[in-house]
Amino acid sequence: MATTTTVLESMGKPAVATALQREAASNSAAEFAEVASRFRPQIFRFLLASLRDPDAAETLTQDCLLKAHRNWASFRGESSVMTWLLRIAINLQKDHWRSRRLQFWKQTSNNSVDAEEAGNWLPSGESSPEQQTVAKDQVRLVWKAVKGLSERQRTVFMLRHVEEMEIHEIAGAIGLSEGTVKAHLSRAMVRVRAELGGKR
Amino acid sequence: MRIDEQNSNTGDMELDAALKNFRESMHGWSEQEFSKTRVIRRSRWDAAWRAIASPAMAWTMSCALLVASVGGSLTIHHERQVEAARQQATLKQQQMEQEKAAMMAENKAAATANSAMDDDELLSHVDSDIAQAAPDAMQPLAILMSDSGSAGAEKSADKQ
Repeated sequence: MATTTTVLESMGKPAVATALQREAASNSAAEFAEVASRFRPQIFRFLLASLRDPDAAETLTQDCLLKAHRNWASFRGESSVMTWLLRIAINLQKDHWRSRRLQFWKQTSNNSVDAEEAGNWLPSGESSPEQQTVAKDQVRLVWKAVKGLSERQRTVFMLRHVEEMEIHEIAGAIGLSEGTVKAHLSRAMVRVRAELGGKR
Repeated sequence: MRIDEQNSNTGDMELDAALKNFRESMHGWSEQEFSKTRVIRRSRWDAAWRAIASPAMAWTMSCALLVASVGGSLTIHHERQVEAARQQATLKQQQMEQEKAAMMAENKAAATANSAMDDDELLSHVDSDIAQAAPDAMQPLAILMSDSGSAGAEKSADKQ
């Protein structure tokens, strides 16, 4: 883009260069709008699963898209758009937890849902009431196990089992090696397994 | 061995089922929350900072700041000038009062000296007047007066 502009301006055609710039900017904006509308639900879901606070998840989703929009021009496509967006979301989530820890003395409005309550959402399948009860119990136990995970383990677990991402994608989004991601996931699974096993 | 494998398989199946239910639950909850209309919360500080950072507000505030700083410095300068003038006037008045007092004291001293001189002059004048010899035409009266004076003195001596 910059090269085109330079060439055109050196040819003495600034008006054409400006028009091309405007067109490129307009294309870029349209492209980003499409990306935002496509990936917004997924980002929101990841943040909701991580924070269990719908309002905070919505706020951070907006912040994530705003940040992505500002840096859209610098996105080189080395990773997938979703991985890039999730990386931004993970950083925002980290900042959010940090600020929450710093503001523990402050009485902030907190709409976070308890793990027990989060287990109430079940897809309305065709299963019997007994199966529904069993499923509800399982979901509650998984939430209980997730609550006890470290921040990183929780993030890896959510990306793997809620967003169904591959290990290398998770590694790209978090900025860790695949081995480290596997280790975190393994520890998280041990905890979940123990929680589910303890029930029996 | 088979029992262990069976148990492990049962455990894995249960784990898989639990994870699937968890995923579906999370997706369902997210869809439900996502479809809700929500007002984005902003902290008071964030809102205040955004208001301050807006160009119109920033322009207004900088103008107000400029006016306040210029007005303030002018007021201070004016007050200092007024104070200096007042001090100068007070000093001048004090000087004038001192001069006046000094002048009055000088006048008074001069007046006292003058009055003393006048008294002396008057006395000497009176003396000279008294000492002046009576004119020839008035000599008999003068003699008479001196006689009567001596006669009066004699009378009082007799009475005693």
